[in-house]
Amino acid sequence: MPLFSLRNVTFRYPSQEGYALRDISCEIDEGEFVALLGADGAGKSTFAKLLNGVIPHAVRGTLTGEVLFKGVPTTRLQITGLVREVGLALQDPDVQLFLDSIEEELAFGPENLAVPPAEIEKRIARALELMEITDIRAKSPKALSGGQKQRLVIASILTMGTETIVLDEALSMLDQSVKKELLDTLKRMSLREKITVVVASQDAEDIYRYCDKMILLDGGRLAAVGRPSEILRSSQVLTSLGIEPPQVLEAIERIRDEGPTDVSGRLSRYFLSQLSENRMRGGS
Amino acid sequence: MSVSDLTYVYEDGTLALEDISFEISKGERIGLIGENGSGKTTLCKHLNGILRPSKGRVLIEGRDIAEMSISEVVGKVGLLFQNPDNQLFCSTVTEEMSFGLRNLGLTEDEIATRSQRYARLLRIDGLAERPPLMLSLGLRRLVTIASVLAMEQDIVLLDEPTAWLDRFQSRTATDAIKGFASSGRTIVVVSHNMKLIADLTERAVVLSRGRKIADGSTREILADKELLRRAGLSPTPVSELASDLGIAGHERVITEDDLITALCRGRDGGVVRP
Repeated sequence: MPLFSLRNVTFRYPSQEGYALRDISCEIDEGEFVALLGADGAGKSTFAKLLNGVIPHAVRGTLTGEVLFKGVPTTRLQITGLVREVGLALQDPDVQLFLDSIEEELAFGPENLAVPPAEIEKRIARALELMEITDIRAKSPKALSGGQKQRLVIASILTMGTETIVLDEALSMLDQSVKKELLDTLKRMSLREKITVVVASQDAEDIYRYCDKMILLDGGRLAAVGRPSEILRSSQVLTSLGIEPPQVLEAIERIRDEGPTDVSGRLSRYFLSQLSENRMRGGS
Repeated sequence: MSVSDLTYVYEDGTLALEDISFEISKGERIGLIGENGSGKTTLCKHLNGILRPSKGRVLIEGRDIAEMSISEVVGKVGLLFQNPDNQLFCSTVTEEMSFGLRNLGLTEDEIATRSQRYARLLRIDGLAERPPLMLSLGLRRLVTIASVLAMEQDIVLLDEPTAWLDRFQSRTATDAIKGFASSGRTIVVVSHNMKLIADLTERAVVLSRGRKIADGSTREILADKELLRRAGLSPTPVSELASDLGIAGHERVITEDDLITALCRGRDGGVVRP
């Protein structure tokens, strides 16, 4: 059974005339690493809020169709239960961090869920280890870098017992190298603990090397779903939707047209070897 | 503009900038690069007088910025904030774009003409009566870019101008910025996106932990992988591809055009094919 099944989901915010999402049907499996891609206003944030039940439980609007979580419609589940299962990290980590110490920040969620102290301690140790920030435990959240703050936000979600992390443009203000390191960590965590990761972005540049599935949105509609090797056969699929494609893919396509023919095959093989599905197949 | 021995210490004692010196000539397109927390935004805030140096000076056309009034500085230097929401406060896009122009003392006709011109340029002309804070993040970013460029100051500081933008919006913004710079104005682009820095600037100043560690042509700086590594920055994706595959001349590859040139040169023994 898929972790999430969206069946003909249409949603409209109360204050808006147009639909934020229209007739979306797709699935996300447990442990999948998903890139949710679309231009500005394509519906990525609305999609993200559907996954953890904020829509329709906290943000009211007109919802038709069904979002099933582990086979049960989210409308029939309590939001307090859903947010324990599906965590959302936002663009600005400072919005989600508000306590004076890292330990308080990590304990806040499970304390509110009445988790026993010994179990909270175990969860804190696991979350810090999974996000590879055990060394910052004694620091003040205010003294952390942007990348460390996002890691702390995700660790704080993990201590709730969450097995699905949705990142809504949460990587967009990080340096390229910090972003890659964080994606490396998320990938290791996802593979090791079968944690589902959904990364919403308008840029496929970094995420294409990590994801197992790409979900492409266009003006609230589903434009395509597939493995990166299927979606990235041509950069045009992305560019026509306003999504930034990997620079290497655009370069390969130009070389195919303008450069020596014998190297274009070599470059294409290099590009395909970067994809997560092919790296896994190669055993690395 | 000239920055000499600039040091800045925050109230809590954190040393944010240390002994920074460089000059900016009229019409230059400069990239200010460095990892998160390297001091880029703090330096920007000194270049338009929001922050005053703890030590050292910032001069505009020979005058110390500390001795100029806010209206004098604003008349010469514009700043696009990193986060558009720190810049937007009016109830409609038209009011937002008119606010700065009114403070420059323009007539209402001039304000209308100029704001419409920049709204068209940034493709937000259909949003005139919409409340900016109700727009999508990408559109909010375009409104702030249009508002800043419309002021037509001699020097414009752009902090992560294409963050939050999708591909269409990003192309619109970079074309507008290039057009703006081509009229002889000076731009300083702050970004961690090396593709953008390669596209928009000719010179780059590299900051690391509040110190200037390099200043030179953008091409030379982006080709220096050891320098980028020290600054905590990544080379452009095609630059990584060229070195991973050991393509002849990979050290010169920064852009897609460079990659094609390197491949053709390697094959034809030095002859560059189109």
